[in-house]
Amino acid sequence: MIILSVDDSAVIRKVIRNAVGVLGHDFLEAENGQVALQLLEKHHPEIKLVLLDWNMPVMDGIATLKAIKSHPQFSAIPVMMVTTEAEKGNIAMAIQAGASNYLMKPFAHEDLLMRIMQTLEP
Amino acid sequence: MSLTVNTQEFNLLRDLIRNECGIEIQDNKMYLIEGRLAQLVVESGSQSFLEFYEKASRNTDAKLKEKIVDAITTNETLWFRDQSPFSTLTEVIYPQLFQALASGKEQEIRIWSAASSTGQEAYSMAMLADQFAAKNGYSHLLKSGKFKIVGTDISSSALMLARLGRYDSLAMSRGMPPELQDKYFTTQNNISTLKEDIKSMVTFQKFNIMDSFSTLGKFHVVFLRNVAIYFSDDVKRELLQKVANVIHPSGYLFLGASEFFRDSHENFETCRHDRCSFYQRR
Amino acid sequence: MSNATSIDSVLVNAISRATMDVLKTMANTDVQFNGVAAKPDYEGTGDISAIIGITGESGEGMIALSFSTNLASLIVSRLLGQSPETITGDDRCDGIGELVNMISGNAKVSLSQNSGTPYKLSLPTIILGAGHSVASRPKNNPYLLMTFEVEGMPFHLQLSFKYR
Repeated sequence: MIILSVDDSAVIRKVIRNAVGVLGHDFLEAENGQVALQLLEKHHPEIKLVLLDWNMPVMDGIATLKAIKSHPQFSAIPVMMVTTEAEKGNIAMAIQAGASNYLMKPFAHEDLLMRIMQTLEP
Repeated sequence: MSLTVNTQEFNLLRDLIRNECGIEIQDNKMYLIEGRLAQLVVESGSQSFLEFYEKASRNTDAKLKEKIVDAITTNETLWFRDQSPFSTLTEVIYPQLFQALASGKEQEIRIWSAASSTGQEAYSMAMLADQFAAKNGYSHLLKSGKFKIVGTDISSSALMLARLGRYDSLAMSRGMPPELQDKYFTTQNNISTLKEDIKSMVTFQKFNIMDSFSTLGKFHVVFLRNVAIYFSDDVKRELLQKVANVIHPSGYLFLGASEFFRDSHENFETCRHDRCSFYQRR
Repeated sequence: MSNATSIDSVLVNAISRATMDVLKTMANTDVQFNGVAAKPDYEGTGDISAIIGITGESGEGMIALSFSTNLASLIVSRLLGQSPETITGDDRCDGIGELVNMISGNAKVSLSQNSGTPYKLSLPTIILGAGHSVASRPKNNPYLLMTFEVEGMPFHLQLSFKYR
């Protein structure tokens, strides 16, 4: 099982890599949505969860989310937004566009782990 | 869509949370409810906090209540938190407990880590027990499985993580001395896994401290640290009575560093060791 | 602007709360807020600075976070759970950029609530080297210099905001 982290911050991707390591899953990272889609294509169907930031260059979070959710192959993969966009309207928009879950930065270590587990639970 | 909470909604949610896990949200903590629950509200497809409350109280989605509790509770998960309770274990309490086990005065020793979260407290106790036993010729007692640590928590995901016994470098950096890390963990790629013989000293169970304690059995030591601070005075009093009923006479209770019994308590005597205040069951 | 001081205090409060929250939650670090001073101009303090722009219908401005190299290494080391000596220059730059992103992202919520309009953040820019100056927008707008402290070591946050 692979978990994909999409964020333009290498430090955030590292923090998530560590958390994913605790859970014992494999990890892939992308610094923007475009790279994320390439990785999804390459590794399908092993990627079981995408953690997605909002503000990224080249292709941002909401565009990436919409692309994943409308893709013939990946639309069922759960996507969790991991982001500072705490405006209430944005949360609603993300959920309506198909995000399964939402974790706001800054996040406590345990919250990240537990949210990942909750999202992966059948 | 309204994602702010009004007074009515706040009161309803506050009651729900209190009933679910005993946590008392004070009036000036409305932001806590809004902030932490907003995500859940939207995820659940609710258009407002009221609708969300209705969904949650209807009982059809057990997971939802659990997610609410997870969202509201925060736990600073540290190894050997506050130090002195743990040195008290090693210097005062373990000598007594292992002696009792060795002499046959006790058939088994049971220790309870209430609100064990991701396991750091329970495993800290286990590592110290192993160290003490090794230094004092009691290792055979540990191997016989007569020394048991029970960790309980209301959160399934926290329990799952605790049972894994795996921690990343961030979690390890919170209070784990390097020599203990080397001794009790195997570390690879930033992930440290607790060794099996320590893991096997601890079992984790799902348990809500608002429920009856009748199935818990009795303990020689209880760590109830930084749990009661969330509760109102009434709930606290009731909780401490329930705890008193599951501690063997002369057994010990540890509360959090900033917690204490306000008046002298009929069930407990106050003790001190180093900078640590703790309580002995009369 | 008739209510400049009170609006500034909304911003200052939002930012100091966000700063303390971000550093406590993600780096397990307690931060002390030591006060705010008005400045006519940007002051290039700190070896490493991360600057982010905020724009919206109701106003625009920038937030700059500055650290000494040592403190930057310390904080990033706590984010990652590594020892400070293992922190690379890239880690520091990226880490500080993400800190200003998270702090501004959180403070932005209070701003939006206060003005009733949304704001957007730019991507952060990192500047290395003290003694730099910034030709920023909005032009000729005064700065607020906020001083924080972590275990005796100071860091600064400067902001300049102009309401329309």
